[in-house]
Amino acid sequence: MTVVLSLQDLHKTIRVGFFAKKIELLKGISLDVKQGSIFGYVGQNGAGKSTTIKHLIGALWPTSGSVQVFGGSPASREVRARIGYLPEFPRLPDTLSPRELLRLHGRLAGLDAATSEKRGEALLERVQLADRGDEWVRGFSKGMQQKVALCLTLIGEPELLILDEPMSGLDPVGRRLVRDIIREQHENGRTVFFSSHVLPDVESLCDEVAILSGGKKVGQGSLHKLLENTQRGKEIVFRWPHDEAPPSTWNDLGTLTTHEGRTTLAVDDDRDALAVAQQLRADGAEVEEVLTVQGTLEDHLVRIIDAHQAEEAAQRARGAS
Amino acid sequence: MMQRIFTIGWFGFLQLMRSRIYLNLLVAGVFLVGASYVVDELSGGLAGRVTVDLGLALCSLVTATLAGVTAILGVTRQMETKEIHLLLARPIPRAEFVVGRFITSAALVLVSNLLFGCLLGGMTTLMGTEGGARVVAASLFVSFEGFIVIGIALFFGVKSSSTMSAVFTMTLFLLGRLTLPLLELIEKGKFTGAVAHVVNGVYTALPHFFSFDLTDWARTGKGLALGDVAQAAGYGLLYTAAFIVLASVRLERRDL
Repeated sequence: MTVVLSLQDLHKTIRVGFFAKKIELLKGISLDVKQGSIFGYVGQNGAGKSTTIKHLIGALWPTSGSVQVFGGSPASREVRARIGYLPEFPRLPDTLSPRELLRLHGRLAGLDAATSEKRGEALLERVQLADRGDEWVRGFSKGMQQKVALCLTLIGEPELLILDEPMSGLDPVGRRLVRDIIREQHENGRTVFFSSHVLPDVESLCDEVAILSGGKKVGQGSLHKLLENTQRGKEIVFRWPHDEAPPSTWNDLGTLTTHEGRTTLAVDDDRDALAVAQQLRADGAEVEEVLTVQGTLEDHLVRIIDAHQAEEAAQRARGAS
Repeated sequence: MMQRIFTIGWFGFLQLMRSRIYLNLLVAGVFLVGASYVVDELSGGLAGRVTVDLGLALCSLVTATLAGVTAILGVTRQMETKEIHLLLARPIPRAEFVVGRFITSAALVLVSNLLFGCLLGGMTTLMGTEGGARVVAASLFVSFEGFIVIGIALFFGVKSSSTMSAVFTMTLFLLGRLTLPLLELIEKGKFTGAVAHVVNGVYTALPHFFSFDLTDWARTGKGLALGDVAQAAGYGLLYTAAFIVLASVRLERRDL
């Protein structure tokens, strides 16, 4: 499949303060995004997500490494004509109306006036802001401004959508709307690259995810594979049809809980769940099912970031000694 | 290319024309320029002479302030608030953005000067002094001073904070106002040797704002050659263009 976006060993260092102290924001990020996919870019605050994204639209220059979008530099006009970008906290000119903004961005995207008007109206309808399209943005809430900014991103019908926290500031209804729009864009063959803190959104939308921590990529893969790694263990659900209590030796096999007449044994990680189930049956239990408890992307993210931070701390300690 | 530049310029004009900062400055300018009438009356009234002299001087000051502020609001402030990201993610070269923003500020300066000129011209006519149209023309000619200030503000504004670019721009504006006395000192031979070369260099590099002062002509209707006006206008445009080119080059390579 064609790669539309490729980062190779991307480094970004900035200098801050009076003594121009060096801060390394990105430490060798490499990734490829395939055409037609929805790619999630997740990590903590300050991990470098927005910094990476700014490289993709040509707002930042890499210190070293390369950024290729559609096989070219994002600094080129031809490449940017195929990109739609939504910033993390879109700041809109507050004395212009959504319709004026759509006209401005439509023309800058190379559309003629009629097409720009037509698409602008359709987009305002889609985000339910058509009736407020002539009001200045100044009076809009954060969520409404986010929706207007999303319309501006989409007006040029870009092939690649780069969305930095597209759900931030939105209420649940707004979030669902944006999720639906992202899905529609994907169904229309567009590639979507988006960063988000809202991991359930990432889980519900993405084909592939990259995890960032401290300016480094600490994990990447298809969502399915990442979630496979998040199995929390096995649980055996059974009934105990006897009057006396279950054998006390079961407490060594795992943790027992009872809810509405069903008892569950969360099997310890180092034990074979099927062997334990056989033992329960032999002891007189009616085993109903053996379940694999699936973790969430959040579990995986927290685990992988914790591991990365621990490794970094250990490295620092080794360096200090 | 021109369509993109004028689109940026036009929507920037709409945006800033409606902003509170611009409107407040415009109102302050109207009061200041209008105050020249009061000063004229208090000074015994010299057939509108004080109104024209002071009015055009204040017009120049307000123009410089408006030019600097609108240029900084249009570029530096937008970079600070990251508003620029949405615009520059579009397929437009950064140089076109700079030129578009210049057009925005230049149009605001022209509109303001037309307003100040009409106010001043109207006052002089009401005072029974002839030459109201000349006052309007002189006021509009002050716009070239504003264009240069916009160029300077854009140059500093693309790579420093709003405050610092305002400070640098105001410094250069004040130095530019001192070029006429400096020229007089040079012509009197006050400087010799290496110092003379340095002073000449400084004089050449600084903007010659006195070239755009048509106060004497506005008051008397005499002493103006069309060639001098054209030369001054050409100088103003070239000086501005140089700063716009430098601003574009600086913006091209900087991180946003």
